[in-house]
Amino acid sequence: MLVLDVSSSMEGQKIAELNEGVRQFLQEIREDEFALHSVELGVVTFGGRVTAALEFAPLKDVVDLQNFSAFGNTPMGEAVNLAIDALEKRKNQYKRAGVSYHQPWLVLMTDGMPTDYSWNEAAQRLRQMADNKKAVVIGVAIGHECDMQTLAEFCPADKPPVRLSGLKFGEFFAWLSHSMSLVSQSTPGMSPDLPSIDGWADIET
Amino acid sequence: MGNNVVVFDKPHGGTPLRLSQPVGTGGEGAVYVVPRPNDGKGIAVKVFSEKKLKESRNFLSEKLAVMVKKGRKNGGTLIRHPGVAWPQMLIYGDDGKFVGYAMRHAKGVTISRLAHAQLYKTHFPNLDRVKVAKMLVKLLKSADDLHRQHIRIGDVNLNNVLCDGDYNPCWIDAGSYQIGVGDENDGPRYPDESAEKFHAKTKIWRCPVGRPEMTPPEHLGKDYSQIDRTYAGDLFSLAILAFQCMMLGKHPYEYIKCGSPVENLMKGHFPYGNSGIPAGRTGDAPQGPWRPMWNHYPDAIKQLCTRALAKEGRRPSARPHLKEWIIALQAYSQTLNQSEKHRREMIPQAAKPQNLTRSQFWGRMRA
Repeated sequence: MLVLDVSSSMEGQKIAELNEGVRQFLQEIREDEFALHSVELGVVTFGGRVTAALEFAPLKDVVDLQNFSAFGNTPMGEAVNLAIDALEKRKNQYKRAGVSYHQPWLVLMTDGMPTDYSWNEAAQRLRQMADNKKAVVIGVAIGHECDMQTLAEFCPADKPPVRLSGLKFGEFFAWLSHSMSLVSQSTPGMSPDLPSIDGWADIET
Repeated sequence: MGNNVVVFDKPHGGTPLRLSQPVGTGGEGAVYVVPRPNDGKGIAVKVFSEKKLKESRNFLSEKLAVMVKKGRKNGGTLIRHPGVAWPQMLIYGDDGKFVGYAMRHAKGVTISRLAHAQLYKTHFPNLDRVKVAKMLVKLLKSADDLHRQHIRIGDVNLNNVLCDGDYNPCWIDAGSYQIGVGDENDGPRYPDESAEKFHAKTKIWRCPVGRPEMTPPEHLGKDYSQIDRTYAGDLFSLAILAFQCMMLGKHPYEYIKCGSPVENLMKGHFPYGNSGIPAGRTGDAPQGPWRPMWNHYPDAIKQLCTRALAKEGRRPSARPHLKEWIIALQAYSQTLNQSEKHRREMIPQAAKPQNLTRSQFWGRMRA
């Protein structure tokens, strides 16, 4: 599940690189036959309002996404709540059908800080999910305006958010698709060794 | 190693082998296919990554040299074995240092595509229970041949076997197997675990890799490079692999409601079969196609799975031997071939035919 900041501060090169990164992610991950048959993808964007840009769907049914445009404030809490609700719903469907599943991944990317009132609650909810191993939460900060401390409240203590080095969206999404392909080849309930994040992470912060 | 790297079949003055696109890459290195110097036939060359060589070049070159030598013994039984891609020669870089080894070019794709609820349709579209049983018989016979040569496979998993379209499986990644020198007289192949000691003069090159969810409970949580693999350990891992092949990739310890696969493996928490947990209770066999898929296997095979994977299988000496698996699987494929009564498809829609008791039979006749 991708939860992406498309608020007005993302205007310009940031949103362009994000769009290109997501496009490339879809292309790369579809080339892996294991991922194609087991990964499901959902996208929630927040910018002015919260949008389910892509309802949760098996990768093989996903058509290309429309480009996002930057607009409005940053209702991150609401977006995270919507994403968690979608994940929980899907998990319950799996449980009822007796389908085993890998821990879902939730990628939260932002260049600012939440502007909605209820973000604390959403942050706590997400953090708890990660702490209880119900989800893998990856917080990615874009640029130096991003408030790392606030973003950290959404992430588990042992996996703090990482700042993207420059605008290396491409490198980040390449890492994400590689990770997804390793996860989809592993036994549900097991966590495979993931590739190094050195390619996209800003290590100095 | 990138494209167009040249390696050699001797440290100095060897024939150059030009590597182009790898046919497979993994954590340890990459595999390329090149024409063999003497006859132009395709051979597979595994070149270890710089990182791997930096860590353990000496260990690997020594171990692979022992393997190549062992492969040529007894008229080349191992090198010529159709079910094992055994190392045939060592491969060197242009500085004369060891970088990898060459083996037979095995055809096909990894059986992680056969034991997969979706991908089998692409790679093995005519897969059925007869084909799975026959493939497993060949695979386990090859494993038995390796054991007879005092080799422990160690890192048994769905990515270490290739299978072609005619269901001929081949063990790959032989470089990781555990091999010893001087262990030719270490007694019967399946002694009690406690008695499975190595000869005092034995030198062992261990299998330093593995996956926790495929590892026998007695070896779990230990550093793979520090443990001596055993035949009984292989029997456990091979039982998981056989189960996965028969169940379209389902891991035997993978549950919906309780525990991680490794926790369940430690406890011998195997939910299938007669001794399993009743449906509806916590930890029972997963719903969906898995129950009918399992139920349609004959009791002999179910019992082998249970003996290896349920609680009693935690005792290494209690695990069924490969011979028992081979006999049961052969009998199963024969039954399927001879009788229309049993379902051949992987996921049968109809209920399993029952052997009726006398009174049930007459009861139905009257009705």
